[in-house]
Amino acid sequence: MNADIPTGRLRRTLSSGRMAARIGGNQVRYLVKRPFLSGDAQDASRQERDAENARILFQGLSLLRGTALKAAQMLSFERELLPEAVQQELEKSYHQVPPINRALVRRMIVRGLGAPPEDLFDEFDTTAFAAASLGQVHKARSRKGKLLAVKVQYPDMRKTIDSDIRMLYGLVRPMPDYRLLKTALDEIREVLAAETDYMREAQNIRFFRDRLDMDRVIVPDTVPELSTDRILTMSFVEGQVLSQWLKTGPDRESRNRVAQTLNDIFIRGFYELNLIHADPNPGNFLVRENLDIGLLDFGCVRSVRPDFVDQYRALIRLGGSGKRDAYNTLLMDMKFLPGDLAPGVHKEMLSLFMEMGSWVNQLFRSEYFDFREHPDFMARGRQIGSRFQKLRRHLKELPPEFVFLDRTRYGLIRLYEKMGVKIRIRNRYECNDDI
Amino acid sequence: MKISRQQKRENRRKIIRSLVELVIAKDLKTATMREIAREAGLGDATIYNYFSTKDAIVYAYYEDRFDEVTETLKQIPDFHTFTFQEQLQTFFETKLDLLLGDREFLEKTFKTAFLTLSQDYARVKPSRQKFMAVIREIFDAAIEAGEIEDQVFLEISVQLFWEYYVGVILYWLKDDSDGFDATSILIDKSLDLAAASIRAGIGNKIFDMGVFLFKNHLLSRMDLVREQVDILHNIKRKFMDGADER
Repeated sequence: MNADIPTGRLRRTLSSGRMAARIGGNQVRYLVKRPFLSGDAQDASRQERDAENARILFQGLSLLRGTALKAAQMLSFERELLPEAVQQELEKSYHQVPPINRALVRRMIVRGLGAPPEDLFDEFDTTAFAAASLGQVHKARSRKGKLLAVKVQYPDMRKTIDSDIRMLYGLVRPMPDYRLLKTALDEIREVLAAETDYMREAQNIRFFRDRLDMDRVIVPDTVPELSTDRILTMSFVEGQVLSQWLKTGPDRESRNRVAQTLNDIFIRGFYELNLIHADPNPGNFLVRENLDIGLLDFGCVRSVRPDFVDQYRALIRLGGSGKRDAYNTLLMDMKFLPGDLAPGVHKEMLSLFMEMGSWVNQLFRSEYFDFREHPDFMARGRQIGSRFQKLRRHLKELPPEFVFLDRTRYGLIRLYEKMGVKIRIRNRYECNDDI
Repeated sequence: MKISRQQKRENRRKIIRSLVELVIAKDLKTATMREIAREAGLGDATIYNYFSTKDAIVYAYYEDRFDEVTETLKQIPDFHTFTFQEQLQTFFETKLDLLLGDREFLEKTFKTAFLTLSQDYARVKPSRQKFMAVIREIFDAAIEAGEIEDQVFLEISVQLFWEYYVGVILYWLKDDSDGFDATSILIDKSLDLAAASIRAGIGNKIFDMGVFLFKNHLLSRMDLVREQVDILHNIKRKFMDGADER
């Protein structure tokens, strides 16, 4: 039963207004306390406040669900935007969407496909087996006996997204990083709007299926005659969701193999197809018995310009080389360094970018990178990232592709670290040696 | 010439259909009984064997739709496994689906037929009774399955659902969202709320509370009253006794 999802804009605004008031209240408490605290205590207090804000934010978001949930998931990938405490809370939100009840599912099928499920399928399980972007997935069997996964969207999703996002703008206003969060929300709004179109997702699936062509990767097949812009029917892919699979305690070799496949998918998708499966949520990958990977959820697939791919490749190759001038030219070409920066700021940013590059370059230095041997790898990156945050206002226009690329790759690397794997990150596109 | 029962049913159906078409094309006021009869392929007088007024045909239309809903619900293979709320919700959604093709007819007739205080209560009654029979069955099934408690106010709840039904249809007729999603969400949320309060036995609890107040306070006040009465009696007796002594 989908208990208490507030749908009315008023109701939603009320519940988010309450959140805003509470977050604001927390800020006040922090500000009031601050003058009397020592430096260390200030840090501790800030962390405490972050955690408290995160908890409040998450409570509010989970009450809103739908759009807000998706926005929360995406925000949780914005490493520099949200403090660690906030991210931890948000990560809990994966796969916690309440089900659309059986009556409503039935109604969505009747309206979308013109007939009730029993007329269209041999079997249709009206109870969903998984949550998906902005909807949920049902298992079914076709007239020909084939197992299917039918993704059904929440009703009236498109209309609510706009009002939800508008409300989220109001919600993050009292937060200290409002300006940055707003930029992130702009992007999220666009992505969400695109994700409501299941026709587009079906196209993405077909494209991946035709072109990805990797032995150990399964991409589902779509069933166009049973799909609309709000219902997506595809072949059912057996397997365990990655996050669950990890909980079963697989051995290191299996984990290595799975992580390696995930990385290969990313590299091949980006360099060969110029596409990014930009939602490295561990719920979007299936692990099969033989450790093959099934890909799910193609709502967030982004294409990238070939010249951006070339620039990015060059950026990775330069990482750790110490070639300051070459770095400078490339960063200016890519608009990371705007031409009108004050010399001091320019210098500081260039140094920071180079530091970031050399951090990333660690991954490529040896044949295999063992995340267990570098337990502080992500922590170091976060530390560089937090220094970026102070300079971020100087970044006027980032290449739009970069945001997705960064999020995807960062998300994957964070996943590898969590899995404690040893994999080959070196590849023929980003390193000079041929493999 | 005697016509078969089946033929009769068919004629009745044709008359209703022809009224619907005429109302959609023109409106109820200007459509005449004669036009309706001709459109249905019947004699000008024959129609009166079935209905005496246009209004009667309108109400017959609404009445028949309830039979269709019941038939459609029977087709759903796992309907019996649905929860109380899911069953109610499917009932309303199915109802709307069946009415969809005649939406324009409803726009022109529903409000007058069910909302204005018509003297035709007798005509609303069959529709209302059919509706309530279905709702009562859904309630009974849920009570039998132990999903909800026995309802002290079952009849009132069932009647409230009728008012709710009229409200939902009116909302739907004004709904301009894609695929009438707004109505579906309204139904989803409101039934969720209703089912939750019924499951929680709010009605029963109010009743229990009432019983408690009545027993503990009203009845104890009764004692108080009795005391007063006794005092009066005593005074009276004393007074009377005194009078005797005189």
